[in-house]
Amino acid sequence: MLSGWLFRTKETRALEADSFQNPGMLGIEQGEAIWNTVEGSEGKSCATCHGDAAESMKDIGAHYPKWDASANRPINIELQINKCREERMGAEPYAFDKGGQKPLTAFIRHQSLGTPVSVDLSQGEMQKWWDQGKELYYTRYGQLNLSCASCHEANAGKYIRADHLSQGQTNGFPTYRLKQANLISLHNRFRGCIRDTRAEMPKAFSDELMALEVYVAWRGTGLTVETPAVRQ
Amino acid sequence: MASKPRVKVPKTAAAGEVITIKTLISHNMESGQRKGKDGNLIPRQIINKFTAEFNGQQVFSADMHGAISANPYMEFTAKVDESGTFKFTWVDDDGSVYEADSEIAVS
Repeated sequence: MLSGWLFRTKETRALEADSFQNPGMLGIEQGEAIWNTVEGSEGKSCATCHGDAAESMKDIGAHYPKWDASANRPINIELQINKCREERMGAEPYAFDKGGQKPLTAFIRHQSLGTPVSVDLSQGEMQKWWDQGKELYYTRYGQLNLSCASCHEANAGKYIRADHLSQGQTNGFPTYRLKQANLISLHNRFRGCIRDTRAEMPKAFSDELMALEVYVAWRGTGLTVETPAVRQ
Repeated sequence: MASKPRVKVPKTAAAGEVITIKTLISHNMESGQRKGKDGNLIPRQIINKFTAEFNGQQVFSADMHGAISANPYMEFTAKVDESGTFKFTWVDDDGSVYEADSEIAVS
C-alpha cells in the first residue's frame, strides 16, 4: 500500500513536504478563516461550538467517512459540514465544490496531518456500503471498459500515456492539483476518473460515490493523512 | 482577488548572515490567452511586479509576465547587517497592491 506521493516526481514531492511552499496551504488558511466566520440565522461560526480546530478536530478527519444514523447512510467531511450548517448554524448547505466547501474540508482534514487513516466498518450498515463500494471498484464501466482496479490495482506504477498511475488512495484529499492550480475534492476526482472511462458520471455524494469512498478510504487504512497533498 | 500573502523570514539572524526568504501569494494569474464560455478572450490579470525592501532599500525585485503559474512563489536570499523590517509588495495588473511586512532581529 503506497501513498500517491511516492508516484510523483521529486520536485512535486518536495513541494508537498514543505508546509510553506505547498500551495494547498493557501486553501488551508482560507478554510481557517471560514472556520472563524459567523454565518446563518443562529449567529454561529464553526468555532462557536468547536473552539480551536487544532484541538477539537485533531485526528478527526482521518476516520471519515463515518456512519450517520440520522441519515441512515455514510457521511463524509463535506456532508458533515453541511449538516452542521443546516442544523446548527441555520445556514445554506454548500453545493458540491462551491462556497467554502473545499477549503473548509481541507482545513479540517489537515488537523489530522500524519494520523493513520482508519474507517470504522462496525457502525450501522457500513459493512453493506463497503460491499457495494467493493463491487463498484471491480466493475468495468464506460466505453473503455475499465474498472477502478484495472488501473489502480492491476497497473499501479505503470504509465497511462504520460501519467504515472498511483494506487488511487484518498489520504491526501482534498488535494492541490498543479494542473488546475486549485484544491480538488475527492468526489471531483472520482467523477474525473469515471469520465475518463467514458462512462456516465454519478452525482457527487450520490449513493454510488459514497459507497466507493467508504471502500477506497478503507483500502488506504494505515496510510497517513497528507491533506493538502500536491499532485501534478 | 488575492488573499493575504504568506511570507517566511527568519525571526533572528547574525549580522552579515545571508538569509533565505520565501513568499507565496494566492492569485489566479489569468494569462490573457484563454477564452471564456462566450468565446471571447478573458482579459489578462496577473501580478506583474514583486519587490522586497529592507529598511526602505530595495533588495530584490522581479517583473512577471504571462505564463507564470497561479499562486506565484518566490524564494530569494538577502544579506542582513542590522535589525529591521522587510516589506514585500505585489502589484496587480488592475492597479491593486498587496503588501506584507516581516521583522527580523539581528545580533
